Amino acid sequence: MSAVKQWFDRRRPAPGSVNHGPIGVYLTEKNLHLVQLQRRAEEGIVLRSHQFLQYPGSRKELLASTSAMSKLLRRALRDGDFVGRKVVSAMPPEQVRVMSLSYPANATNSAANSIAKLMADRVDGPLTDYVVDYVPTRTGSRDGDRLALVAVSRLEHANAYLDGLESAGLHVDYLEIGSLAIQRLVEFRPATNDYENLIIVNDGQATSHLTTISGNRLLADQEIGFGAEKVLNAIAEPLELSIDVARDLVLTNGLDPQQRAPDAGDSGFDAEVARTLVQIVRPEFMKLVREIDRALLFADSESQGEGEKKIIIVGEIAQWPGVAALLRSLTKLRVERLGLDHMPFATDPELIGNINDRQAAEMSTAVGLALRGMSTHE
Amino acid sequence: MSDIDLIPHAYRTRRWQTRWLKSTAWLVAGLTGALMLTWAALGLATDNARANVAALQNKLSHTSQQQADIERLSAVKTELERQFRLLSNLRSGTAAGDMFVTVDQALTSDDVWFRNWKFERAGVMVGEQVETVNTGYFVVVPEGAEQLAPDELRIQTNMEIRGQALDHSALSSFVRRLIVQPGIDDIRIRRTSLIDRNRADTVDFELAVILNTDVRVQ
Repeated sequence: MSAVKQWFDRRRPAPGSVNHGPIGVYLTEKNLHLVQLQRRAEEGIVLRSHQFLQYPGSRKELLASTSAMSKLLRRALRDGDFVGRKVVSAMPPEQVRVMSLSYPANATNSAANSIAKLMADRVDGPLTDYVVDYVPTRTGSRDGDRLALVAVSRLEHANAYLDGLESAGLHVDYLEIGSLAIQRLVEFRPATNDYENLIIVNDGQATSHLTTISGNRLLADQEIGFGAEKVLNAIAEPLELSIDVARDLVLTNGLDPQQRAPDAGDSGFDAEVARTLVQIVRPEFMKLVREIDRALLFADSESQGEGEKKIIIVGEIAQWPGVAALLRSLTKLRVERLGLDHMPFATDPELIGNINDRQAAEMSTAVGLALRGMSTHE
Repeated sequence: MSDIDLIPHAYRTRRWQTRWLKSTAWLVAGLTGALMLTWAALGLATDNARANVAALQNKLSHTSQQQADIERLSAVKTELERQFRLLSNLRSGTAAGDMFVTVDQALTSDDVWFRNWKFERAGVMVGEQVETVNTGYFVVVPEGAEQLAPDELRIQTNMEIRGQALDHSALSSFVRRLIVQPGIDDIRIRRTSLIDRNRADTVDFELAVILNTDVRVQ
């Protein structure tokens, strides 16, 4: 009887609520995140529910097993207070390629046909084995070429991923790419939306994604050979340490010898060690800086080189103490860590004590997905 | 802002078809369930109606049986009443003693005397045939002739008198006086004959006197 009552209570609209958004589902490298937002008349957008579960194995293993994925999703849905089963998700980064594509403005061919012809030469096998979608980023130029951000994924990957979600009883409304979700998130709050050209560094273990946004246009999303593992290896190998010890060293001392980061550990901080670590990781970070410079150059070309520039970092490296200061010193640009301040529910007093910056950054892509249809920018 | 959507068109189509099929299946299942429920309800109502009809038929049969019993008992009652009336009539009527007084009043002299006198009261079954008059060519039903129901039982009180008279005139006078006596309905002379009595002729007669105690019992 109580289960029936709970079922009805769960579906009864909360006082003052206007509508519920879709459930944003995203698989980070280690965790499954489910986020649902709701818009209230008084408070605006607030977090309705958030669930995250660590995979028993790797993301690759999880994606290979529909039943394991379904089981994990069902568990998350059961534990969370979600309304409805409509989902917006994003393909895992390793199963999707995103590229900027310049295509001729041809009156006889539509943009879709032009892009399809170009993409047919860039994929292995027939184009029918792939699912392709694009966003126009430049519709006119002096040379007549147009620019689009194209996402391509193997059809079997997309179908398998969708089957995994549907097998858990979810109905996928949209299947996006993670960078679009991050863009939607950072553009949502006017307080943080104070730039013209924005570079988002979403770092992973082996590779990172560099997303270029110019004037609310997603210009590019590229994978670069920069990641937490590479940086930690750069520390571990010369010092003959394990990866975990190198990570502890970074977390304890940070990468800002000038000023102790406020979120660094209370004990063991040594400015000299921090200085040494900066010297060691600088070459790795310079690779990132070069990619950032290249991306900004591209952004400048699209926006006539005007406007504020900003870098937002998200991922494991973003949580290392002093990394923003290091990147700021290397790029001479404003650097922010994606955190609670960027969340649409940042002003919700009930959540301020419950979610920290690290958790907010971890769930950021899922939040951006959950914002689809709720953001006023769309 | 247009966004990227990597859901394959075929997948969306398949999902739409699956949802449509599921919706249709649910609809069909719902309609089937509703029809089955309606059918079951109608069946139940029919069973109830049949049971009611059977109960009413049973009651009607019982009522018919009772009606037949009532008719049978009514017939018995009618028959018993008829028999009771017959018995009552048989037990009533003109007393034999009164008849002696009546006949005695008709006897004014000694020119008529009786040899045998029989008093009889009995029920007589009367047929449908009425008394008619044969005129030679036509059989005339007398006006006002009473139509009698078949198997009508008539209670008649008769006297049969055998006697002798000095002559036919004396007999005739006696019959005329007797027939006007109260209680006498009819007199029929059945037979007369002259006999020699002490060398004088006398009339030997036989009369049937019908008293007006005629009662019909149906």
